[in-house]
Amino acid sequence: MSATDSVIYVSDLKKTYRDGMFRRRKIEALAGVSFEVGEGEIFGLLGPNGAGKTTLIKVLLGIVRKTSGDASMLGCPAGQRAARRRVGYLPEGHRIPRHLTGNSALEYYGSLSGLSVSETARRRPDLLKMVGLEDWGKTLVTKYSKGMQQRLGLAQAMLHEPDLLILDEPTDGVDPVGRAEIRTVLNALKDQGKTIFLNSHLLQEVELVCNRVAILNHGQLLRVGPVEELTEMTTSTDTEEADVTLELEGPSAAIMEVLPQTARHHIGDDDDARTRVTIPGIDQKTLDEIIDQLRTRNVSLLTLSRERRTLEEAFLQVVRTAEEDS
Amino acid sequence: MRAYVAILKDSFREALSSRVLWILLVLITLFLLALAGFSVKPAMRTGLSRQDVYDWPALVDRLRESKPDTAPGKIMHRLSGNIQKRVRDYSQDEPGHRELIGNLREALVDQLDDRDLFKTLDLPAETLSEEANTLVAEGVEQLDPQKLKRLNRLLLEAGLPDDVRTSPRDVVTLTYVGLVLSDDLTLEDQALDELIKGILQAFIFLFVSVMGTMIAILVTAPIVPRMFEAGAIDLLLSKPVSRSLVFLSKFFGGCAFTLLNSGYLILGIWVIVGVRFGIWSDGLLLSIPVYLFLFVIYYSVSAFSGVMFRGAIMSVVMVFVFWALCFSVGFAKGTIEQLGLTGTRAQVITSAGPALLATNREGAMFVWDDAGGNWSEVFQPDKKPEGFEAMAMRAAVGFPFVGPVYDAKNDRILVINKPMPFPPGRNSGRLLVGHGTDDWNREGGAVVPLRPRSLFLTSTGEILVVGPKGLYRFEGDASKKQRSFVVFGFDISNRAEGGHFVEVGEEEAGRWETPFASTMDPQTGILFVYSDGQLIRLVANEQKKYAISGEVDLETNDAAVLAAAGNRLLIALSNGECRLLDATTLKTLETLSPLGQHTPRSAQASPDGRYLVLLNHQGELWVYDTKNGQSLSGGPVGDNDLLAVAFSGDNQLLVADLFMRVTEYSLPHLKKTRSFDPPLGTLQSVYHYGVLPIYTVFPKPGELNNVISRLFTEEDAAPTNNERRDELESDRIALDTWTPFVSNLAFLIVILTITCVYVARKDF
Repeated sequence: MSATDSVIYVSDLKKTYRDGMFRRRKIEALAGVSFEVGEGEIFGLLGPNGAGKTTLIKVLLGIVRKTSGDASMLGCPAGQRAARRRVGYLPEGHRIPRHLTGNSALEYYGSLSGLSVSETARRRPDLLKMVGLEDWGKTLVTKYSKGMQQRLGLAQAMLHEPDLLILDEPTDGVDPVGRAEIRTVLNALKDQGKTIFLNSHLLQEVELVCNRVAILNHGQLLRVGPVEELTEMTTSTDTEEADVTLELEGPSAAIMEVLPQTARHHIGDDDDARTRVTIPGIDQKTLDEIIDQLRTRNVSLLTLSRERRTLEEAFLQVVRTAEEDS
Repeated sequence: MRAYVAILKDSFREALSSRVLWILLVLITLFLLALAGFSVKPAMRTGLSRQDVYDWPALVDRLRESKPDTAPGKIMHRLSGNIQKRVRDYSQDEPGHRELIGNLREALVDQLDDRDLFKTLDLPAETLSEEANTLVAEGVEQLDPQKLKRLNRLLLEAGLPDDVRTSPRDVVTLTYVGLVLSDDLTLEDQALDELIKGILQAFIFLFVSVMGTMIAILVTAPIVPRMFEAGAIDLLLSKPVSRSLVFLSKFFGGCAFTLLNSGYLILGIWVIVGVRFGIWSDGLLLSIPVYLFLFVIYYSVSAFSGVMFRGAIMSVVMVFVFWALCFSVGFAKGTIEQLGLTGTRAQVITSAGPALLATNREGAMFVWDDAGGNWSEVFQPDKKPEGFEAMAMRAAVGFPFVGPVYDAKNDRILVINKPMPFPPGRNSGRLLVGHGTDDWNREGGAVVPLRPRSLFLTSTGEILVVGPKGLYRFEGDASKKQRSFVVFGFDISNRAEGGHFVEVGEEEAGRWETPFASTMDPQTGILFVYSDGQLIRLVANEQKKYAISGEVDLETNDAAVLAAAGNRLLIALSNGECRLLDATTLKTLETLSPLGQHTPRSAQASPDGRYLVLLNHQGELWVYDTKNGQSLSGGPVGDNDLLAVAFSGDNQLLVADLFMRVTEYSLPHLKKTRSFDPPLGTLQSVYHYGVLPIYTVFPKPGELNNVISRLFTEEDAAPTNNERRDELESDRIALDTWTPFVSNLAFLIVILTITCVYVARKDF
């Protein structure tokens, strides 16, 4: 993908804040981040607090200016008004003015996005229904719960039917039922071909929704890849290696002869001449060689599976490893 | 555009959701309902107040000295024995002066209820006004008490024409919910108009400009900081909008609160005052945008602070700091001008032969000393008023002289020293003289008639004093020292010692109304008097009495200044309109406004009768050549800091600007020929190089009240004393509407630009 093909394109993006009035301290929020998001993807950005996730989003939207590097969105340089016209944004902890009702808030934000009042009025009922606020349109937002405000925020982000949705903690404060509803909405948007850039602490949510994720820590991008790739179990630090479990049938001696010493095995009863073997941190080439040797020794390969873990476990491992390395 | 309109619309929505707004709207509604109770109804002026008599001591004199068969004598006869005795004893000195005046007034008020007054006075019908004759025709015995009082008041006016002011026929009295507030409170339409506008002006200043702005600042201070709160600004800036325009939309939307409140209040007052009093004041309506502009200035500081510090409290604090700074700069300028610079401002310049005299606003006269290159004071009084007396004198009298006028034949200057107006009648104006050969020392002191306004010297050297009370010529030796006797504060000088004034106006000539102005054609000696819109041409006859030789109604009641030269008469009205008339036929030849709508200050004619000059209170000059009917340009024309203008004996133009600096220009090319430029003193230097530049560049929100004042008075120079409103030549505070407007607008543009740049570049 290139900057023009990608919905989001970030290359060696840096952002340094300066703090203090006189002896200004440098704070590096983004230290050369590079990744791309393709059309129709649901992309999750993960990272601990202070990792630079929100800064990255703000740079994309032009709320914050980059220090160096490239960033583009929908084919336009980051921050351009033309790009923002096609983006729906739900900021973390957003505040909708207290004097507005659900309806007037959508009218207000719709106008800010360039929609006419009548167009907003036409789209509003379906949208409120989609986020479960169809009975709350005439109520002041001060009466809304945190979750309802979040859903109204999502509605305003979707109001002008943007090509890209940037959602910063969309399920924050939303109950499990509401979260499921939001997931449904996101999947529906994905089906419509919309691209979604998701920033969330709730890794289970990300795991359930996202195609690809990126892990950011202290302004540095640690990993980018499909969720499946990230959740593959490995005891190795080499990202190309994974833990593999084989279920074999054949002479035990032959099996033991081929297996590396690190492999853990469990030999079955005599009646059941099956052996279950787990080989930690093995790369694909070595695995292929072992299988070839087993086959020459008449050992049948019944199953082969890669070990998986949750995204949360993968995330923690990546972050901890990075912390240890630094 | 739709986005910014949405922000503006949202601001109104936000304002309408504010409880404070609704509380204020309810309070304003209650106030308007209370105000709607006031109204006026037609009335008759029936009483006799202290102000209804021009000069009470003069009335006492008249009652005492009149023969029994005259109207004043008959009135005297009707007074109680005690009052009559005290009136007779008055010449012996009257320590209980105020008490006598009070008792005499009460005694005259008692006469107003007496049905016999008409019969007793027995005044011929032709001396009575049309209104009085109508009442008499109704039958004195049949008149109701109010009409009787009115008739008797008219009889007093007819019987004591030199003492009792004529009262208008059509007056109104104030009512509240139909009830008359006070029988004594009757007003003419004009006075009612001025009263209502005066009250409205004060109200707008106090309750809208001061309190309203304060409340509006407190209420609107959180709007901008709230916009920049985390979560709100992100959402706003993620939309396809310009940051600067978002800020500006929010800023101007923030004015919605003020617009709703002030608009409702002022519009409500406008409707009520229009419906109840018949006064549809455009000034009141126009004060809405002016007030809004005033608020916008303060709000721009609030918004700037809100963006920088993101807190409402800081916004309010910064607004008060800004206000204090503006106030301090204005106060410093005003204080230095009042306390230190009044003496350096020329009011009159007089070319006295080879000498040049300048008189400052305090009445101190200076002669130019060529050798020293500076002014040196002359014509000093024996005792200068100091401290409180000087301040009171300045406040009550303003410029203390009429004149000076140079008498070339005798190489002397003539000046009328105005009296202190209070207590009424206790002091007299004096004709003072200073000879060039005697270093312009002050001499003379003849008592001048009441309310002198102009001093003229005829070609034959006669001294004329003209005022609304009459036209007088001095007879005697003006230079002779007049002794002054003041006992217990009363001036009992022998008024005939040395010389005296005799009335020289024939018949109707000599009883004029205000606004009043007069001038004399230096070539022909013809007098022109402007009396409440009437222009009268007076020519001296063989008996040296002035008779009316022409009269025209100019159909205005504005105050005016006059000058006559080359068979042209210039009448400059207070609204800036100038009329050039044929001095013989009094036909208007041309109407023009050469200096815009600014209030004129003085009009002068050159001794050769060729040029007319006009100076206004904004310090601008217009020079007109009567020979070819052209306005001259160049030289001082186009300046705006001129204080006085005069002609030298050889027809050179003299203009004075700041710090007693006088420049001489030749005519008609207005080439500078001479300069009288004294060195600056310390205070003047501080003012000129320090305070004035700071003041010039500083915003002046407080001075927008001048704009509101101008809208109400429709004058661009407010008199320092309302008593002298009709005297355009008296000192005025120029209500410079454009300078504060421009400086405030410049400040607004600068601060909004800085804020927009900051908002556009800031990472949020």
